[in-house]
This record gives sequence, structure tokens and C-alpha cells, in this order.
Amino acid sequence: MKIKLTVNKKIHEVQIDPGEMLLDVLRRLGYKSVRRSCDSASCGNCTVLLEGKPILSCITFAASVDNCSIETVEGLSEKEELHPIQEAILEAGGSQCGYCISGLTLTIKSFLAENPDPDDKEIKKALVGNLCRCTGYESQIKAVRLAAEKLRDEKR
Amino acid sequence: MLLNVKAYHKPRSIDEAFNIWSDHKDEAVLIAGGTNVALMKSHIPKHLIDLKSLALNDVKEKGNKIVVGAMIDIESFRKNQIIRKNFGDFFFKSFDDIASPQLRNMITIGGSVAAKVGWSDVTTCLLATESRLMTFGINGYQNINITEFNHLPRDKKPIITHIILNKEDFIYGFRRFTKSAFDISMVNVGIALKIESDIVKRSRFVIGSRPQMPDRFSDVEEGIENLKLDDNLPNIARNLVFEHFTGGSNYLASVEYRRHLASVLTERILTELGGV
Amino acid sequence: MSERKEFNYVNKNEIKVDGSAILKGKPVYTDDFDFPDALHVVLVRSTYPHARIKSLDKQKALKVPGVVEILTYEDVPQKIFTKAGQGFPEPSPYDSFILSRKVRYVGDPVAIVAAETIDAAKIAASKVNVEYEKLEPVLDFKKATMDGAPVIHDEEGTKDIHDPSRNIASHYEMEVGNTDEVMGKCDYVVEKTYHINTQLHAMMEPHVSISYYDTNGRLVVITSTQVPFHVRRILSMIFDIPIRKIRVIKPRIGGGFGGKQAVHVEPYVTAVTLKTGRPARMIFERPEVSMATNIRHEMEFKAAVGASKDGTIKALSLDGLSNTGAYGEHALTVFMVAGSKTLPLYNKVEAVRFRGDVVYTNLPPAGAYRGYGAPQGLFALDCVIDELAQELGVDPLELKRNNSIKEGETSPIFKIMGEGTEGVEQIVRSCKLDECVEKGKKIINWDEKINRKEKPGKKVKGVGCALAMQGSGIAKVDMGAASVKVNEDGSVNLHLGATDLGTGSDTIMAQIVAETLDIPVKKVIVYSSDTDMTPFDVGAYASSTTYVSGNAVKKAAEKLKNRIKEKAAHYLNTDVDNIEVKNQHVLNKENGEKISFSDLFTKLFYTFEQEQLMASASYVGNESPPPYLATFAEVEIDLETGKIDVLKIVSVADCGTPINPIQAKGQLEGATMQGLGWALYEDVKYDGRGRMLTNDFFTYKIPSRMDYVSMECHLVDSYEPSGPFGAKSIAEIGIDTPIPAIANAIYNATGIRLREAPFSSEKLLMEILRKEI
Repeated sequence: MKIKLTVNKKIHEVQIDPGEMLLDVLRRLGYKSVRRSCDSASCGNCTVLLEGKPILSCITFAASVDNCSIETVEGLSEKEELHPIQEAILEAGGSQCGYCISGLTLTIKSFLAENPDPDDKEIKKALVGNLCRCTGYESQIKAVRLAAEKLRDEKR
Repeated sequence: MLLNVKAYHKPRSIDEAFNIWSDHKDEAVLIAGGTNVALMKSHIPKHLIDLKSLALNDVKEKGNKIVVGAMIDIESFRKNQIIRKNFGDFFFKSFDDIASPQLRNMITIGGSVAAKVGWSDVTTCLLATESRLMTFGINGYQNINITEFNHLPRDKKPIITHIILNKEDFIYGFRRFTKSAFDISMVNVGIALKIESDIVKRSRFVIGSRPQMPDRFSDVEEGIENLKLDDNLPNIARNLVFEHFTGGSNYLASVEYRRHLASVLTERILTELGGV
Repeated sequence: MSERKEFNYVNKNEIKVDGSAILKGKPVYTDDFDFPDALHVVLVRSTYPHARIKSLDKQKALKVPGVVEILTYEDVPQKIFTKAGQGFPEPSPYDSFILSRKVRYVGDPVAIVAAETIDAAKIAASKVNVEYEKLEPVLDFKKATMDGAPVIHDEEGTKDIHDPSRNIASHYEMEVGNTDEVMGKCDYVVEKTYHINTQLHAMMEPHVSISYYDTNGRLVVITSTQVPFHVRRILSMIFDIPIRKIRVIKPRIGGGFGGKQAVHVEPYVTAVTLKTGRPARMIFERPEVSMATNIRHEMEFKAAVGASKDGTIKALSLDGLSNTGAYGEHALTVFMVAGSKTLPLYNKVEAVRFRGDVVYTNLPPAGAYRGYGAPQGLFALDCVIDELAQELGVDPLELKRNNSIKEGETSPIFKIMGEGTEGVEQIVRSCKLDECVEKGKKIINWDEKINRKEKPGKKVKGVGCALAMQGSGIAKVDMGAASVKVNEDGSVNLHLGATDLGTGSDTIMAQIVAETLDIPVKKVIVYSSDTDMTPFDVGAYASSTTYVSGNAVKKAAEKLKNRIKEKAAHYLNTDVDNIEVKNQHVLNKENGEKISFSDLFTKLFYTFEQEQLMASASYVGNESPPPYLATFAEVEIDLETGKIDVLKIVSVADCGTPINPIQAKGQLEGATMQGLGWALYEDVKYDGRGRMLTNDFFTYKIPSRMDYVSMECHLVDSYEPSGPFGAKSIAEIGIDTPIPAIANAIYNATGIRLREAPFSSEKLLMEILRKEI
């Protein structure tokens, strides 16, 4: 079957298998930032934004998002520039192996849009579904605080 | 990826959905939020029927009932103004502890009930509010309760279209116990009390993730009827739950531990409710 | 002895050199490489823990559209080897085949299926019909050596198995002095048994490899590995292909923690490429990662400590049993590290003994895992000393501190125990454990809290501590090499074998070059771990990279610096002694004349004494300086549910000079969390037939962000004279302490000693209830 998918504002008409997951289709289209890890809705590494909200692409049927709009990390920055959230993660040492980072970045983006000045407890809760095995989380929590600051400054 | 899937159906009406489902019986799966996909055996389903296309996601007040489209995601549900107005913090807070933001955006109310998983916190909360289901099946629309639905054989199972909640004069409490924060419940307890002049007139005690399906415990409900909601009640109920608990063991916990936890959670919920 | 230097690029929080690509989600990991013609590979795995294959029928599977090849033990070389990626000759027994006639755990590979699509491969894999002759399994490692126990490795041709007939993969024993005699004279002796379950690595990126022939007919393997050079050597051996015809490339890696220090995927894709001539790729599903790669060695120790009344520890003994599962990958060496990286910490003893067996079972094979045996050994050692403190009625922290090793001291164990072989003698040149203790105890408020008397209530709090050491590479075994060359713009290429698996080693190596040559980090272009393009390195394990590879990089950069000075002296017409390298320039100190690197290198390419300046160097450690760590945990116990909340965990380490403090702390934080997860949440369970029940992230819970209240990690000032710019290791040590620290804190809070880790809330509650009765 064929679906229409808008990814990072670019429209794709793509032939899919009816049992195919969004994760597979996005990776097939070249959006490799979407990472496969647990494949069972338990780690958050495959998170993408569906109409602005974070969802797990490993359990989302591609067929179900026909005519929907998806955002992946590829859409966050242009050329050399990094998005303020990405800058913050790097500066705070929030990325080690980096495999969880795409999903984390998108979850942070959606979270900070709703809550631009969160405390640590809110940060932990909002990101609870994004597992990371490398960092021990502390540096990533710092990164979210830093990102929030950067985004608020940007708005001013 | 599910192997062997032949078609992904997006029915435009409930009749159409049910017909496709009836036609394919053992080879079809209803997709509500999609979150149970991870638990599916990847070789079995040949037909996927997406119920999201039915746009059953509104919340409406109808007299002393609230009718909720079964396909509403639990994040939207818990934040819904009508739900908050009628249930205070009960759903708002209870559902906030479930899974993660990503999953709460995906898990639907109807899908949670239909999946019939023992650890469903949603089902426990709905049973505590004595919510009923509007279903569509072989005889058209039917209003049934969750326990009835759970006991229907698979080939007779209708499609859940709406959840019907009561506007009622109860107070509610819910607690779950998990190993780690981002995990399914080892045991969960939902309690509803109707209090008149400090006396428990009616109550509902629901315990889930036993690991069997959440269920009411009528022995406990009867045991506290007409008792005073005072400092003694939590302990009385705790002992009743301990005495009447039934459940099993699995990789998460033993039945003994679950019995113990259910009792403690009961006591804590009632202590909290008594303080209100 | 310690010296402190001011640095320009070292000891600075430089941004990771691969950071931008990763943050932007670029296709940097193995699975991101597209090969349009690649076959997808799926393994058929054993559903029995112990069985002989009677027959294999692939006819039905071959009929699945898109299936290209199905290989069984009859189709692949039957060469015995070890999957462990270690130095050669490996200290692990040779007890594995690519595919064997006998399966030894649920998940053991039985057949390789290659198809045009992943779906076809999966469907075909489910249709390969295997008939088994079921054998009785060994599922309890304590019963592995019992008379009449089924023999797991009865095949021909195995090598270096200690006693296959009794399922003993390896055995080790050593003793200094007469332990029993000294114990007999001690005023206090505490002897207890501690058991510690296995743990899953649970790195985010599953194991994944791609193999193909390049245009010259050479085999190329792109793989998510910690040991690219060992992968090349092993593939060469098992498939009988000359080393020169194999190239192994390691792209970015999504975490390893030891789980990628073995060849779990590479032989299977290679077998397909060799057979079909086509590219082949395979990514493991999460359950395969969990139950069919490596897990941590489950261990049990009978630990004994003897002391005099004044609190001097006189004798120590660890009597152990280790579960290596179906195969003996890292069997001997992991077991030895349980002693060699823990016992020297208490070096003032008159006698010390370490011994035990590593046994086979029909459970998933254990292998390398961050800490490499040290956490298992330390759980027993630290807790038994904590229990001694309770007998003596003294502060456990003071008891541990007073008896621990100090700067300038040594331990006979350094010489006796290496990894698989003898070790090397070494004097501890840097040890700031005291500073770690002081800093940590202040943060946790130890003195006040250790003697806190809890009021009776529903919740109680307690504190606990643990001290640890590790090593920095394997002395006289681990070798790393690097080469550097200059470019016209003053930039430098650094090529090295060291393997960055997400740890940030590429970045700190760039910092070492930058510091040596006094150029900005961004002018160092790092390329690592490609067996064609970079010099040899053993790979990323044993906390070796910063110390061993870092020393190689520093040596190479120093050589290059000397060459630059030589050429500059010619150009500036002066003696080389007058030349100074400063801020991307070469300067004649006598007259202030100078030339920039870019000008000099350009001239050297085109107009002046034309030469490509380059240098290379190798390093093998003569010693393995231990980093040190003090960890403090404060827990709150819900006495009604047994729930254990970690209110605060503080780890303070001496890792010498941190080359990149934010990354070094990141290693410590990550390891601390991994240890915390192991202590409380991560509990591997099997069904009655040896199948792992907790083989995905739905059932196996690594800590989430909400599973601790607060964590603080710090590094103290320290300088290791033998390390690059004073650096030692930091990658592993953090995982050694959380389990004993939390166990000790639980005791402090409740008076209950948990001697079986992990500590589930259920386990603790049952103890609480027992105590009340």
C-alpha cells in the first residue's frame, strides 16, 4: 500500500508493507537518526514527534500515520548549526555513545515547548521513557536546564 | 514489523470495522493505541484493523453520565476538563504515573481495557469508578460492564466504542507499586468510597496486576460497609484485603508479596482518603 | 611525588569530536550503512538448554520466497575457537564452534539463514526444522561439578578447559602466607557467603555487523565491536583467510560495556558473504542481545576476614565459584580480577588467599562486563569487612580506610595475579583514596548519619560506604599504537587503533595531541579503529584506553614534535635546542624569529627540504596503576513494602589527571548508575528450562531517570607519573562500589544484612517480616 508522509516538512509518497512500522519506513527513507534499540516500546530511542507530540515509532504502524506530519532530528538543524537543545547536550556532556540522543532530543523539544522553565523533578518525569545506559542521567538533566535557558534567551 | 500482514484496514464506520473483524476472526487484530504491538506474536495477524480512523475520541456529558470515545489517548483523557471537573485529581494523577509521556500519547482508554492485560492501571481505575463499556458486536450496540467483557470468549468479543463513566458522589484513590519507576505495576489498587456523615455507605475495592486481571473484592467491600471513615478503617480494610486477596506469582513478584503490598496500598489509600 | 601541571588542552572540557555528527543524527552507526544488495541474516537458535542435533531439515525454509542460503554446522568450518576478543594467545578455553552439533544454552546458534529481505529471513528461520536429542541440563552452577552432572563440553578438540569431565572451565588459586594459621591467631574472624547474580549489559545499540567483498576481493567487515583487531585475527583463523585479505572497520558504537568484546555477529555474516559473495548484514533483536551474546559472571564467595582487637586486618580469604554459562569466554580472567583488583586494596595483611572454580552451565555464556569480576569480588570483600566493623564496634569507613593501601606502598598480589598469567610488581605511585574518602564523607554527612538512631516509623534511613580500586590496562599485555602526520594548514591527522565505543576516547586522544603540539583540538583529525588504516590496538577493554593508547598517542605526538623542531631549526637557521613550539608556531628563542605550522608544513610539502612529517609509536604498560574510589550511599527503606530508595549516592574517584573532566565524570556517573541498577532493579530470571525470562527491556529494568533521588560524582586532584599527562583509568571502577555501599546502607538502616544481590524490595521485606517475628 501507499501512504503520504510529511517528514520534517518534506512530503514523501511511499510504498509500504501493511505490517511495517514507522521506524522501519523512516530508516528506509534515510532518516537514520531514528534508532532501533529495544523494539518493544520500552526504551524511547526510536521516539519521533507525531504532529508535535512524542511517540514511539517502533510500535506505530506506518499505515496508521498516512497523511500525518513527523519530525525527526534531521529536521532540527540546518547545515553546520546545532539546535540549542543539541548544543546544550554537548556542552553538558549529556551524550556518550549517543544512541539514545535522537529520541531524547525530540522528547526534550516537545517537553520544553510545554514547560519552558522546568525543575529537576519535572525534567526527570518528562524524560522517564528515554533510557540511557551511558551517562547516568545527571549530565542530561543539566543539559535540559541549559537548553531551557538557551531557548528562553532565544525568545527574548 | 509484523510478518504476514495482508491488509491494514481503516474502516470508516463501526459496522465496517466489526464486519472486517468478524470476517477474519483469528487472523485479525484491532489496533487501538498500538502499544500492545510489542506483545504480539509477529507471525499471527494477517489483518490489522485501525480503530483510530473511527475518530472515537471525544468526551461528552450526557445527563449523569460522561461518555468517552474509546480511542482517546490517556494523556488527553487525564487532562480533559470534564474528567477533571468530575473526578478531581483521580484520573489526572493516577494516569500521570503510567509509563512515559510517549506511551501516554499512544495508549488509549479502550485499547487498555480490550488488551485484557492484568497489569493495566487504566482498567483498575475504570473498575473503581464502575465505568461501563459501550460495545458494538453481533447484536449491535450493547452497554456492558468491564468484568462481563473480560469474560466473553474471544470469538464473541465486541468492539469497545465508548467508556461510560458515572457522575457520582464518591471519593477515589489509586496506588501502584512498581519495581522501577518506568515499569508495569507489581500490584495496583483502586478504591472508591461513598461516604455519608462519615459512614461508608458503599465502596469498591479493585486490585490489579495480581498478576491476573483487575477485579473487585466484594468481601472487602462488604466488610467495611457502614463502618466509620476514621483512623481505624484503613487498618480494618488492610486486614480484609490480606485475608481475601487472591493472585499468583510471576517474574515480578510472588503471591505472598503481592498480598502484602495490596494490603499496604489499601491502608495508604484509605489513610489519604480519610484525611481529605 | 605528585606533580601538578598547567595545561592548555588537557584537563579541559573540550566538546566531543564526534559530538556534532551524533547530535544531528547522522548515519554514523553500523546499522545506518545502506548496502542495496545486502542479504539479511537471521540465526536459528536453540530452544533447548542442552541437546544434540539429530537432524536439520531446511527444505521447507528454502522454499520461502527470497531465501538465498541456509547454513548449518555441515556448511561452515568446524574450527574450535573462543569468541572472546582478547590478546593472543587468549587466556580463555577454546570450546566454541561457529555452529555446533550440540547446543548448550537456549539461544545457541543452530543455523544461519540469509534472504533478500529481513522478513523472508525471519519466516524461513521459523521453518527450519531441527530435531533434537534432549540432554539433561545443568542450570544451577552450584551443581555443575557434582558427581553424575551432565558433561557440557564432551566434544573433541577443546583446548585449555581445566576439567571438562567435571564442567570446570578454569581453576585458580593463590596464597600469600598461611591464611588459616593467621586467621587462627586473630582476635576476630568473620566469615560469610555472598552471592551476586548476573547482569545484562543493556547497551542501547544492539550487536550489528555488515560484511562484503571490496572491489579487490578483500573481505570487509563493518561492525559494532570493542576489538576490531581481535575480530580480524579471529575471522582469519576460523575461516582460514589470510589477515591481509580482511579489513575490519568500527564506525560509531552505541555502547558496549564489555558486551562487544567478543565475536557474536561477525562470523555469521562473514559465513554468508564467503558462501554467496554478497554483502550480508545482521542486527540482533533485543532478546538475542540479552540471552545470546554475553552476560556477567554470576559468582558466589565465601569471604573471611581476620583482625586483631585494634582493628588491624591480618588475613583475608575469598573462596569463589563463578558461572561462565555455556562457554568459557573470559572465564579465568574475570574470575582472577575478582581477587587481583580487590584484595591489594587491603595490603597490610599477613596472609591472603584467593581460589575457586569457574564452571560451565547450560545458561547464556558469561563474558566481559565493565568491572570484569571486580564488582563481584568487592561485594564479598567490602561487606565482610563492614561486618567485621560491626563485630569490632567501629566505624566501617575508618576500618576500611585505616587498612587500605597508600601512596608508595605495594601488594604482593600485583606480582602474583595478572590476567590469566602472572602479574607485574608495582609500587603505587598515585593514591588519593584518603582525599576521596574525606570529600565523600563530607557530602553525605557521614559522621552524623552513621550513628543516627532511627525513631520507629514506617520509613528508616541509613548510610553505607565502599572503597575500590581497579587497574589501567593489563601490564605487559595490552598494546596500543598511534600515528600522526601533518597537513599544510597546520592540522594533524591522528590515526589510532584505540576503540571509542561511546566513551569519548577519540576526543581525549585529540586533546593529548593538542597538548603535546600546542595546537587547538579542532586541528586534530582523529580516525580510529580501521584495521587497514590505523595501527594496532588491543581495543577498548580493561580500562586501558586512556592509559595505554593515551601513552602511545603522547609518544607519537612527541616524536612528531621533535621532527617539527628539527625542520624548523633548519628553516630558521639555528640549533634545534633554540627551537620552541608554541601556539601553532615554531619559535627561535634566541631572536624571536618564528614560522607558523601551516607555513612550515606547506614549505615542507612543496619548496623546502620536501618531506611529509609523520611519526608513530606504540606503548605497552609496564605497570597498571589503579584508580581509586570511595562511594557513599544513603538509602530510605519503606518498612512496610521493602522498597529501597536511594536518596543519595556519592562517588569520588582518583583517576589521576582527567584528560576531559566532564567525560571522565560521565564515565563515573554512568558506571555508578549501572551499579545502582544492578543493586536494585536488574534481576535476570530464567524459567525451569533455562530460558531467560527477562530478555527485553519490558521485563529487564535498567534504572530510569526516576529511580534515584540524587547522585554526585567527583574527581580529586591526583597525578599518576606514568600516565599521559598524569592520567589513569576511570571507565570501570564506578560499577564496583554501588552494590556493597547500598548493602551496607541497608544494614545501617534496618540491621538486616543482605548477602544476595540484587536486593529486591520483596527480598528485603521478607527479611523485615522475619526479623519482626
